[in-house]
Amino acid sequence: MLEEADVRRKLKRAYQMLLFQRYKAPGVKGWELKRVLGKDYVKMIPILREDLEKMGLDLKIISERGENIDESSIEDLDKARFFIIFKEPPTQTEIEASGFRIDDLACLAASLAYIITHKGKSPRKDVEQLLKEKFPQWKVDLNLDRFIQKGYLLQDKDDILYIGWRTRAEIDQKTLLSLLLASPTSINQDMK
Amino acid sequence: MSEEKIKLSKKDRNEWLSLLLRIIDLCKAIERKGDPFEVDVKKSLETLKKYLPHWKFLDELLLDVEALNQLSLIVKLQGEWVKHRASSLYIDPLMVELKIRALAIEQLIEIFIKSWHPIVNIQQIFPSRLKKAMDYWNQLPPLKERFRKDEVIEVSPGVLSLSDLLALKILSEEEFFEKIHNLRIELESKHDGFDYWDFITRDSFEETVIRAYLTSFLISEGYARLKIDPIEERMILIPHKVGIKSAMPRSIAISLDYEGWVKALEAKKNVGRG
Repeated sequence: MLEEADVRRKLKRAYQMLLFQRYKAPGVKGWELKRVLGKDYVKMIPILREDLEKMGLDLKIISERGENIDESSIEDLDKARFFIIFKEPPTQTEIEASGFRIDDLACLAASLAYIITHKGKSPRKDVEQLLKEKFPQWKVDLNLDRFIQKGYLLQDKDDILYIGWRTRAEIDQKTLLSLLLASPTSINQDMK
Repeated sequence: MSEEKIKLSKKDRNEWLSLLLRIIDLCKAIERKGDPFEVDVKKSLETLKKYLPHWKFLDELLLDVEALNQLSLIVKLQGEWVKHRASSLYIDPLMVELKIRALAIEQLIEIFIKSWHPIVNIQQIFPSRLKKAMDYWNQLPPLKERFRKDEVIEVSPGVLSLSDLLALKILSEEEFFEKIHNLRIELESKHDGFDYWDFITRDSFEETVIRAYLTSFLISEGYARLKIDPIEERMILIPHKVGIKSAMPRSIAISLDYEGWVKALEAKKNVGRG
């Protein structure tokens, strides 16, 4: 009984840490969770997931190199970052409350799809060229800078854009590309 | 082996060096954008191997190392390219680009939303933090006080009177009168007077300044008189037993600075030696 109470207390603390943004970026490092949950914190991850699922949420783990990882490697987990994400995509109302304008999201979708298919990196001017077809230059600049600031994209000193940590945490890249290719376009419709 | 023994002409050497530079430039261009398989790594490595024994200077060897480094990066890119092609994420970029261009904005948004799982996080202010913030606010001085510049008022040179020196505690009243008394005795020891500069000049500049100040006080109070000899350009300080104030007092400004003191000290020492 006491042991169960202790586990619940530790889990409560872990949820607080996961939800509360303490630094610039949300989420916590594995070693921080270890401090709260104890050495066997990896064993508690399924319990965390189960609890979160009941609320329509999920636990996402991103490695130090920015890749999705599972619970198998403890060493990688210590350095990995843990986030709580929506289990299902957000509703229209939730999107409206997210602070993103709908055309900003279109910019983000196009940028990410383009960069992902170019092996995860592309010169900024190429992405700008693509976005400029549908948005004015000032909006393209503003949005790209905003995506970089939020962590969806990364930019190096040579103005090369990469996929950022937030994209790896929030976007199902495979689904994005599959849906993109499967969606009917006006070209297809014209051909019909 | 015979090839290695060939002595390179300056022209050949320059041509070979420019070939190295071309390999480096090509690799850098591919690294930025392009197909890494456009570089013939095997052929480039063979070229580097062939030229290596002929390089003599450090710059040439450094260029060779740079070319080798760039080629290794190309091999890395080729590895990534193969890995990406083999992954489930590989889709022809051109096809995706065409799709992006052809899709309506609303369609793009719909696709994005279906693959989006936003991070959930709370940004909350706790009461304890709020209290600290209030304390900080309360003790923070207003902006106009924090950025107030220190004002400096320019004051023109003036004269320090005895009362000023006493107020500034540079001298005490007792000390001052004792010094005046001693100076008077010293001055009266020679009836025909002293050369002014000989009288005030001492081994330290500070002491000289004090004696100049005290002497001016003696003159003002009538215990001494300054006789100016314009021909010899000398000023003689003549003592008075009692204070005799002149009916027509005159003011004479005598400048005393560090350089003047040094000169006066040297002149005094020279007279002493003579």
